Amino acid sequence: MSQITLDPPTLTRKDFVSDQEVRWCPGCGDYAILAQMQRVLPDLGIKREDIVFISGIGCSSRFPYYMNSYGIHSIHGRAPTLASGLAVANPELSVWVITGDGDGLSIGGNHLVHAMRRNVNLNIILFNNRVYGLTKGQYSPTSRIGMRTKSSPMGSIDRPLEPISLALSAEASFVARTIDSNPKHLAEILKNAAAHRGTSFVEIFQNCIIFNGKEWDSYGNRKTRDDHMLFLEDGQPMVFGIDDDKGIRLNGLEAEIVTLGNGISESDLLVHDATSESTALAYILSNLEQPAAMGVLRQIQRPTYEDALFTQVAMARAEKGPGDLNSLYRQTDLWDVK
Amino acid sequence: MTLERIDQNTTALVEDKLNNFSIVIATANGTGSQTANLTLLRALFKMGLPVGGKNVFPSNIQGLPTWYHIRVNEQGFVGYNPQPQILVAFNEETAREDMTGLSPGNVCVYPSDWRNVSLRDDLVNYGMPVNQFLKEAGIRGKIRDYMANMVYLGVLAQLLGIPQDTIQEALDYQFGGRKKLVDSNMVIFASAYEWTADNLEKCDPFRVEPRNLTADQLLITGNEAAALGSVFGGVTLASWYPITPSTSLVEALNDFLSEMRRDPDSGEATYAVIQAEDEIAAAGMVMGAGFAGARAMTATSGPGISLMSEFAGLGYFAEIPSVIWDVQRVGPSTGLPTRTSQGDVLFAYYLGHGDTKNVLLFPANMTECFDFGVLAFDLAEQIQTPVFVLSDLDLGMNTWMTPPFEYPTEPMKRGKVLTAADVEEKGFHRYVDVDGDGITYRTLPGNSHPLAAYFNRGTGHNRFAVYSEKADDWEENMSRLNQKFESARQFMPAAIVDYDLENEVAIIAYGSTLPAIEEARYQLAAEGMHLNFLRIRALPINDTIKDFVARHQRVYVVELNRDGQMHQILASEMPELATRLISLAHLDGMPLDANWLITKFKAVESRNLQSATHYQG
Repeated sequence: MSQITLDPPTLTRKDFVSDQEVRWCPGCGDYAILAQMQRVLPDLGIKREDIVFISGIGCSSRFPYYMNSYGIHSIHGRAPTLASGLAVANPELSVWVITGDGDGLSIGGNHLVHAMRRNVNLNIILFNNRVYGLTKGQYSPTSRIGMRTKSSPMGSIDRPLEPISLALSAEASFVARTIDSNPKHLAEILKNAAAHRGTSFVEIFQNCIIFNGKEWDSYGNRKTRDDHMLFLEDGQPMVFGIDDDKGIRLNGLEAEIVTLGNGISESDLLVHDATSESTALAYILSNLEQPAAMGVLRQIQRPTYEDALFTQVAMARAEKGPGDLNSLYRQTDLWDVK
Repeated sequence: MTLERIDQNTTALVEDKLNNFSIVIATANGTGSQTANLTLLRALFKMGLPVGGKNVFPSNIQGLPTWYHIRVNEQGFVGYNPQPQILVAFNEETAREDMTGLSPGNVCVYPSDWRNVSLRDDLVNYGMPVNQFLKEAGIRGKIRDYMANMVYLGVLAQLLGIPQDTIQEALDYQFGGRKKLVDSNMVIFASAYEWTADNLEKCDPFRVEPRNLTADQLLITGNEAAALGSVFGGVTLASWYPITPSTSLVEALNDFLSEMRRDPDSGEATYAVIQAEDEIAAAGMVMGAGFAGARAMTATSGPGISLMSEFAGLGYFAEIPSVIWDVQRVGPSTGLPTRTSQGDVLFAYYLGHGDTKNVLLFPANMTECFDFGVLAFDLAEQIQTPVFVLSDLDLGMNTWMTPPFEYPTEPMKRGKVLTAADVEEKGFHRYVDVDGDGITYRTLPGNSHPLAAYFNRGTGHNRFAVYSEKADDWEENMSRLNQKFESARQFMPAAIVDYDLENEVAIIAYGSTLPAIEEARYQLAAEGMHLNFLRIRALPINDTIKDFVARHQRVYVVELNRDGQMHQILASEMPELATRLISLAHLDGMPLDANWLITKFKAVESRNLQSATHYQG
C-alpha cells in the first residue's frame, strides 16, 4: 500500500468555530474570550486534531461546545484531573482546561492546585467573574467580603481567594492575568500560555452581566481603566496611569503606589522580572487591587510532569536494560496446576 | 375485568372545554416571562379553579427556549399534560415546532409583528401587535422584553374570561405589593386586554368561569414547603453547594430562617446556613453538626449525592443523625440538569461502600414536602443515621396547590440521648444494645459526666467504641446495624392504600407521579378498569406493602426512571411475590402524564392477560 501524505492545511479562525450556536447571555464576557481563542489558535502551528478542550460545570464550562476540536464537558471541578491523564497519556497534545472561579477554586480547588504543582503541560484558563452564574447568582470563592447575593443575604463573610496568589503558592511555572475587555492583551496572553511548556495558569477578569455586571466596570471603562490596571512588561519599570505618571515602588515588603516627579523617577520603581525563580515579587504584585497587575507575572522553565516521568522511565531502562516480562514472572513462586 | 373492555381504546381525557384545558407559553429564557406566567396561574387559582404549573426550562440563563405549562381542571386533575390546547407562541425560534404539537381546532396566540411566521390554517390563530402596545406606552430598552409578556397576559385574560381585577390581585402578589411595578405592568396589560375585546373575535371554545374549588388552598413549590417544614422541624444548621434543582430549597431556608430564627432580645441569628466549597464539605459539616446534637441538613441533587457517598457511609457506620434532601434531576453525569426524574432511588438506598442501607422518604405532594421536613429530623435522631428525602425537580421547583400546613402537634423526637444525670443513673457505653432494638444510646459533646465522652469513628470498633479489628466485633456491630435497620421499619410513615377486595390488579407508586396516577385511575375506572393503589412513602418497607402485593394477581410499579428501581427493591424485599410485580418505568425528563400511563398499562395488561389465558389453556 502506498503512503498518502497530506500537506498540513493552513488553518483559519473559522476552522475552530463549531456548529453549535453560542448561547451565553447577551453581553457576557465569554464571547470575547471565545473570539480571541479562535483567532489565536491558527497562529500556534498546532494541528487541529492535536487540540483538546476540557471543562467542568458552569457557564465557562460551555466554552468547549463552541470550539471545533476534541473536547470533554466533564464533571464539576474535575477538569484538571482528566486533562492530566490526557496530557500524560499523549504528550503531543495541546490540552486546555476551561474553568471558572466556582468550578476551579471552590469544588475543584484541590485538583487545580495539584495539576499546577506537578507542572503537567496544560493551559488552564480561569474565567473569574466572582459569582456563580449558571445556578443564578450565589457568591463564589472570589466574591468580595460583604457581597450580597441570594446565598449571602447579609453579605458574604468568606475571605476571598486570590487566584494568582494561589497559583504562585502552587508553584505554577506560568502565571498570567488578563481581561475580557482588552482583546489584544487577551490574545497575547493566550499565545504566551500556549507556547509555555508546563502548566500555564491564566486568570481572566470576565464579566457576568446578569449577576455581577459591575465587578470589572472600572477595569473596562476608558476613563478609569488605565488607573486600575498595571500592564507588566518584562525588564521594564512598573508605570501605569492614564498619563503614565504613576508607578509601583517597593517600600519594605509592600508595594507602594507613587506619582512620578517631585524627585521620584522611573529608576525608583520596581522593574518586572517574570523569570525570577522566587515567587516573592509576583506574589506582591498578585495582591495589588488598584491597579491590578496584568500580563505575565511569572514564567520559569522547569521540567514538566510528563518529562520527569519519562526521564525516570528512561533512566530505569538505562540502568537495568530493557524489561523482560518472562524473568519478571519467574522471580516469584509459581504454582504448577496439574 | 375482560379483554373486550380493555380493547375499547378510549383514552381521550375528559374534554369539557369550560374550566378544563391546558396552556403552553413558549418564550426564551431570561425574558422575564415567569412573572406573567405565575400571574396567570395565580389569577386562575383566585377564580377558584384548580391549577397546576410546570416550568420546562433549559440549563441556561438567557436565550434558550423555555415553556411554561398551565393546566386548569375543575375535577382537580392538574398533573402534566403534554398536549396543551392553547399555545402562546412567543419564541420565533421554536414557533414552528410548537405549533406542530397542537391538534386541529386548538388555539395559537402569536405576535403579529413576526414577518416570517407561517400559521396553521386548522388552528384558531390570534395575532397580537406586541410592538404597537410597547411603542404606544413608550417602553424602550431593557424592560421591553419584560413588558412584552404583559401583552400575552392581557390577550389571554380577555380571551379566556379572566377579570382584570383578578389579574391585578395576582400581579400584586407576584411583585410583593410594589405598586410602581404593578402599575406600569398593568398599563400594558390593560391596553392589550381592551384591544383584544375590541379587535379579536373569539372563535374558540376555551374559557373559564369562577368556581369555589380552591378556598383554603395555597400555591407553593415543594422546595419552599420543604424549607418551611425543615424550619418547623428545628433545623439549626444547613450546609450546601449550589446545584439545580435544589438551590431554591436552601434559598427559601435562608428567607424563612432570617425571618423566624432570631434571638428576640439581641436580634442575632440562631441558625447557620453555610455555602460550602462542594457537596463533600456540605455533607461533612452536616455530620459534624449532627454529632454535636444539632438538627443539621443539606439539600442537593444527583451529582451532589455522588460526592456525599463516602460521608453517607460514615454517617451510617458511625451512626450520626443527618438529613439529606435529594431533589432529583436526570442523570447519569450532568445529564439533563433541568429535567425531573426518580433516578436516585437505588443509589440513595444503598449509598456508601460495603454493606450500607439508608432510610429514604418519598414526599408526593406539598403537604408531605412540609411534613417530611419535620419527620426527617425525628427519624434521623431516633434511628441515628443519615435520612434521605427524595424529592424531585417537578415537586421542588414547580408550583402546586396545597391545603395549609399544620403546625406539628408533638414535640421533637430526639431519640436516645443521655444527659449527665442519665449517665450517672444508667451508665453509658456507646454501642451496647441496651434495649435490644439495635439502637444504642448516645451522648453529646458538652455532656459533663466523666463517662459521657466517647470517640466516634469510621474504623472498626467494638460495643465500647474502641478500635477493633477482631472478627467477632466486626460481625456483631454489622449485625446490630442490620437489626437497627429492621427496627427502623416501624418508624417509617405507612404506605397510603386505596383498596377494594374486588380488584385483582393494582398500582404501586411513590413521589411526584401521584397526580398522573390519580387521573389515570379515574379514567380507567370510567372505562370499567378498577385498579387498587398503594403509595410508598418510605424505605425500608414494612409488611403492609407485602400484604398488599399478596392480595393481587398483578401489581404495576410505576416510576420515572429507566431501570424500574423501586420495582427492583420490592422484588428483592419479597422474592416470593416478585413475579406479581410488573415494572412500568419511563423516563424522558418530563413529569409522568396520565395518557402515557393509561396507554402503557392497557398494552402491558392486555399482553399479561393473554399470556395468563394461554398458560391456563
